[in-house]
Amino acid sequence: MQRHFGFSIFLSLLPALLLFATFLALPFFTILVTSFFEWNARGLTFNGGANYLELWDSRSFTSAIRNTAIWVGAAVLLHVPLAVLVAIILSRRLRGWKVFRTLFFLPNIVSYSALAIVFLGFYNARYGALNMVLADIGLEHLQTDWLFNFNTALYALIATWIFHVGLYMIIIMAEISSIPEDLYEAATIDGASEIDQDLKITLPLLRNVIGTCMILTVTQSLIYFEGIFLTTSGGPANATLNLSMATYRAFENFDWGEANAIGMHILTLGVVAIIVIRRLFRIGEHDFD
Amino acid sequence: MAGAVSPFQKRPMWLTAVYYLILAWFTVAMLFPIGWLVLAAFKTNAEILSASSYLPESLNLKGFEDAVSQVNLLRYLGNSLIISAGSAALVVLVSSMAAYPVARFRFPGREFVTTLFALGLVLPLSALIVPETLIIRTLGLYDTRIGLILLYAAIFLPISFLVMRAFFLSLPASIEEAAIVDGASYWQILRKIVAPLSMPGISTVAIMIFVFTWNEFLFATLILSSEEKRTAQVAIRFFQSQFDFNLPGMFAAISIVMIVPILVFILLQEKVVSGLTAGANKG
Amino acid sequence: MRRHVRHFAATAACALFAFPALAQETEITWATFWVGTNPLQPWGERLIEGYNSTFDGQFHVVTEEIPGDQAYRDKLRADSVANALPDLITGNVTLMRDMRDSGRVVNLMPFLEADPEWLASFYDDAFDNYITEDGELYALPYSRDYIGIYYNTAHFEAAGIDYPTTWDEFFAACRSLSEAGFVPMATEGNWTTRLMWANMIGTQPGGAEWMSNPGAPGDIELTDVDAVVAGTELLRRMYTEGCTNEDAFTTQYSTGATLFLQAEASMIANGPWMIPNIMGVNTETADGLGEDIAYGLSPGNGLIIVTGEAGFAIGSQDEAEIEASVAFLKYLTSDEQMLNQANLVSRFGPTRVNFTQEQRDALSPMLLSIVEQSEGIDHAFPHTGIALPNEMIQEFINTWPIYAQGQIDTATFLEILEDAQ
Repeated sequence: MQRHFGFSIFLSLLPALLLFATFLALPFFTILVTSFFEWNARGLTFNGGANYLELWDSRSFTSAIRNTAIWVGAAVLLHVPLAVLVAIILSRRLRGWKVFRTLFFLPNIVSYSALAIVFLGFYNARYGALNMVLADIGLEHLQTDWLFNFNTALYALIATWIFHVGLYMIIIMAEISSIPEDLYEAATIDGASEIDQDLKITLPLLRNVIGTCMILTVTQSLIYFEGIFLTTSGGPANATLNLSMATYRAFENFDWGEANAIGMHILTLGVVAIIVIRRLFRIGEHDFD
Repeated sequence: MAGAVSPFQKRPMWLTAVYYLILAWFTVAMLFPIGWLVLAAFKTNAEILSASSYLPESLNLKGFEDAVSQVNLLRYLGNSLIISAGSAALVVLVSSMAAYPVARFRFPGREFVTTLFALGLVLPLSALIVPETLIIRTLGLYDTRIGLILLYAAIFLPISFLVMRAFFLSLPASIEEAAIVDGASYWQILRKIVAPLSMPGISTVAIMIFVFTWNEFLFATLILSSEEKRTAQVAIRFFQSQFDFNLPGMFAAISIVMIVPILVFILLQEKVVSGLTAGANKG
Repeated sequence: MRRHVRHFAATAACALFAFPALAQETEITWATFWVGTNPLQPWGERLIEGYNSTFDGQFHVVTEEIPGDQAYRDKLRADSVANALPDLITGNVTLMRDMRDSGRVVNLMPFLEADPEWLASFYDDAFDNYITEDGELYALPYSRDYIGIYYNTAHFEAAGIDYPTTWDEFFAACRSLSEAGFVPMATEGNWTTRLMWANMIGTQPGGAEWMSNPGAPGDIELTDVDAVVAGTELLRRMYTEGCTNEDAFTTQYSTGATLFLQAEASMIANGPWMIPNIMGVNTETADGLGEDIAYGLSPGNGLIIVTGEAGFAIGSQDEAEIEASVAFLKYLTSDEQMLNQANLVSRFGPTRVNFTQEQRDALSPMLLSIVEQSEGIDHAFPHTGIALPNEMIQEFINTWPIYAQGQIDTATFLEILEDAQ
């Protein structure tokens, strides 16, 4: 059937391909090529793989890889599963579900420059709400400078976004809304409980979209730096430095060749992750073929 | 209709309780920061930066005054609206047109297209600054709204492509196949059958892109230079500089600027409601 | 900012109704971050107004407003690669060095030499930060800053002590102030902490000399320099002896500044541009704070003095625009505008201006007192942002918390900083 659609398919793809070719292809090649150059205010000088060798030899890069792995791990193992949980519960149309849906999306509506100030205040060592609460419930010994203590900083930062599942929640809810109703009707008549239905009907049918959310969360984690930059800037002692923050630091120091060498790592890791997730979730296979 | 059958089945009390407990926890996690920043608009710099109290000492409206008079916020909301609505519309159109054939048909280069767009998901922001400046200036689009809209469309194309593709994959293909048998053209199928069925997906992607572009600051600064095109997000930054800051003004501005995407969200999410799960109990 | 809007309206109206008359006027663009809450905003506004009326019909400046120096730097660097720099560029030493390296800014020396009177108006050391070995001047300084330590005299009175003149007295004062219930020294792990670091190194024997010439980026040694080791250990002592606030690592300027402005902290190191804030301009301070604050030298009788912390460069390529831009710089460093700068943003310029007694009396007493005290100092030195490369500063901010908390020793800390350059 696709033979006589060939030209239409081409036309259909054309605008996206044009946009990509105009605005994204050049940055991609810039990263690839200039990662082999020294690039500063003076201009470009080819330096072979020196940027890469320097990176692999540096302590901060090792920290960045480790922290990125923890960050991505939290996104995959906690963030998306929580989004699925909330989406399934809200799709059951509990009383007030629309209000909850709007409420849960709110943090996505606010730019991180505002949230950063909120969380800097929340974790503050002198007047922060968290330490106050700990004191109130008799856990003074747990008080610390959460964002600037080497051992707690990374986890404190992860906690700022891990529950903000609004974006993935609405994507998954939209998908649930397109599941044919007769599937549930039949199950209800067979006496399947709600939880049975969620596990046996909803979850399997969400395979594609959960896989998609996994790809999104992994890639977004890989390029995420704004929230780090506005709170800890990767400190203390690289405790919160991830690959993207390391890219930004090199960029700010006008060491653009090295910034792009780190960028190549992000690109490579991202593409590998996408391929693995697509295999794992068998994305691309139809549910109703 | 949803719920037509379900009233026969009763959800056990304990399960309802567990549901609400989970929702309560998330409500706290969401409302804490949002409530904090809205209330901060009524505080003073010193209260924001040195006191742990959640509520302002007194209702100080100076922040809102500054937001409206000092940075002319309301003037720039219109600019943001044009740019975000324009980008969201363009992205939805372009990404659905690209995602549909990839989800439905086998053709040479299908895998290549998918991988290509995947690359766009992992381009670090700092690596985009210089190339995009060069491209926009070369195309003569510097300081034009259309330039910024096209750039946003490109940057958010990969992410919407991915989400739209997931939606198309979950649509039953049978109706389309019947239409093909009846001799419908590709564009007729896309417009008359696929588009209406994917409204939940389309509105979700539209919200996503609207919010992303609404909050975007860096490219709005890099691409637009004239004051009359300034976006609200750029205007908000006028409240903060290295050695001086007006945090109540900033939070007031943020609170005002938040309202538009909330309205857009509520409006567009209505499209998703129609289909939501069958097995639902109303209440 | 409201004034800018009106400007725009006026320009638009002119363009519509009086276009032929404007045909001769050269228009230049100034990309500026002196906007919004930036302390320099009031002066910037005055500059534009004055320039446009002085050169009415000949030159006209319009602004491209970019909020935040970070976004400004990102944009200007990208513009420089795109060979599309604005006519006038403002920025700190780091950005100006980038502009120099890009080879896309105008050498200003020929213009200064062509106007001996203008050249002679500058202090002898005014161009040190911006002159190349070949005598090319790639940016023009507009400020000369005396960066001391503000202290709350009411706190010192309450604790029954005087402002310290040696480091031993400083630590003794810390103890007394703490006991009296004050945070002795407000810091945040970034700017004000680094100012204290500079003070502590600069007042060691040989420290000021080292700070003024630490070597070329890439070859700077820290571990072998006694003044650096001693100064750095003093800085750590400031943290370990509880001289500073509990939240001393936020890296946000607002953390320390708020403590001081709320009269909870007794001292803060910062430049004279903080004076308007202390006097309650654009911010809320503790009641009557301005009357209690004095501006002092660093313990050890030293002072950070920086000429040209930031400068102006010209990015025009067209002769007429260069001419108009040079006229702007001349106007910027005129006595009239230097007086405006001192009045509006409490900052002196890099030129010798003979203020009249009346003009002098109108200036902030704090500003005048720090200049007066600078006559008798033993050590004058720049701050770390001038002396050390950006990479090293970044690494300082990154690693300082674990050094202060005792997780690494001084030698390790300084080695990490050396490796960063």
